[in-house]
Amino acid sequence: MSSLFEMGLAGRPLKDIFVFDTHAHGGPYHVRDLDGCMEAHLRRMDRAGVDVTCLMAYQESGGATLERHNDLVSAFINARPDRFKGYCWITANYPERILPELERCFGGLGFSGIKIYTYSGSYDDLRYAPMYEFAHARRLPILAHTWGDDSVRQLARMARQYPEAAFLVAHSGAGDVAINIEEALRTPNLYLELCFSGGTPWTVERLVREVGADRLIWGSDATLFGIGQQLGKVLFADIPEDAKKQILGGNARRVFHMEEVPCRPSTSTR
Amino acid sequence: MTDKNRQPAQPISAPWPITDAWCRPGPYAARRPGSPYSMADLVAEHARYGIRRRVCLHAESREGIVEEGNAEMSRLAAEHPCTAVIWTALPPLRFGADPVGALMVRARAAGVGMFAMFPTTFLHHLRPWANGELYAAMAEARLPLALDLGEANLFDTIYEIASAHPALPLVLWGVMYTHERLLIPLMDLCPNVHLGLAPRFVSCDGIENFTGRYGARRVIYGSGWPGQAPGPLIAHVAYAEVDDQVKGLILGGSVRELLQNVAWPVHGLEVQS
Repeated sequence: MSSLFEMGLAGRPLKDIFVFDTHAHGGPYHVRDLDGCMEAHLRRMDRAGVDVTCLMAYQESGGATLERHNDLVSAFINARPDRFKGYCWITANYPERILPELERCFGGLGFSGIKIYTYSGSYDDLRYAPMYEFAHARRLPILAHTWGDDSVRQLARMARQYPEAAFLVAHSGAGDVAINIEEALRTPNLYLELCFSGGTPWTVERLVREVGADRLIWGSDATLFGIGQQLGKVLFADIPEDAKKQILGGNARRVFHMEEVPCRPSTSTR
Repeated sequence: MTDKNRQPAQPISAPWPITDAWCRPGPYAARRPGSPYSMADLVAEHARYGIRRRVCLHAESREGIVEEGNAEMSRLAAEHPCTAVIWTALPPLRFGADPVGALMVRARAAGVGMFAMFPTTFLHHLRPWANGELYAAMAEARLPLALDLGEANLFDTIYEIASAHPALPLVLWGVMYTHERLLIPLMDLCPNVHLGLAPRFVSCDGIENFTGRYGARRVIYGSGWPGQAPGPLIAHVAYAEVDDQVKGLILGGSVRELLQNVAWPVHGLEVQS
């Protein structure tokens, strides 16, 4: 069997391990023209060997069209629940809509997590409290956009306050990674999600060494980025194969409370 | 060499002969302690992926005394036969500048494979009215010009250069994944413009869409090392939904063809890797 390094170099799909993409987008994006349909996304996942993707809409959906964008994600989930999960996107800029939207998304639309973004202000803003309580009570993952800055510290404070929720620090590796490391070491329910457009040398190795592979989570940021570049950061890292498997899927399985699932769906979508 | 740059126990060969067309060895100002930077670091890092050929600009040429950086890059390349050289070119219209003809003679003698210009760092014009003689000489020699959009987001200026000098190959680095709408009219109108992947042209379906529209010879892999590791962008290409021939061109064939087309023998191409 080829090593994961060799698989990545040859661009072979990762068929023998469980791969969970915890950070991806569905639907249209205002500055790019791309195929955001479900079939296209499934084809991209199959090419890389991604088993399950947790989707959200794009960031501009935090405004008036938030519910419509969550509906779009729900359509992915309901069409292929074996391949897609979803984050319910909420924003503190419309605080009156937070709980109703959470109740709607988790009351039958099939969502698995919550997405928040920095345009809504500080993550320790009191307007977010109902959402954190909701996630804490249901042991939900919360994916938060960050950039190696104070947003990580804000999120970590909330993670310590709501220990039953899992807090996924998006774009760990961007900005000052020392902040992510420091906060992860203080906060057991903080997970470092790795996607960002750059690929700084030895960042994954450093995070594994200083925080541990069990606290790193892989995401692609598709359909903004290609899946391959983000996979490469882990596949080519100078870390043990087991650590790569943990990062690419094992940890997400735990965070998303998934039962044991086969590595590969029984029928190809291609 | 940093302690982090080590080869795997069994060196792994890439399925394609890879040329890293945009890397920058040498000490640089913003380095964090422990980060790789030297030519030895670069060679060791490339060895992890089986990369044996590279096109390099010295860090001193990127941010310091250009002439010293250019000379140092040529010296390093002499020690590493599969290394092609990029020199930073300063504009010809300045105090103490070599005449363009003399610069080209020196470049030919050194087997330089490409020039690069950084108008923000070195505070000069890029438009053809200021540098026309240089661009004309480069076009005559078919010597590519590398430009970094990360430092100067000048699509209008690039259009002016490319359209005024259609025989001058231009290689754009620093193109962002969100630049597609800015790139498409430029690449449609200017067949001499090439898209470099480093460091952040990582857009979903970008490889498929750009090679589909322009062919693989217009797309070039470079890593952006030491700021970026070589691997992620290789995987970006390797996992693209294009055939192996296209991947091979992006990962090395395209830039090797550009360098082979230069009017003189380019150092670093002559040794088979």
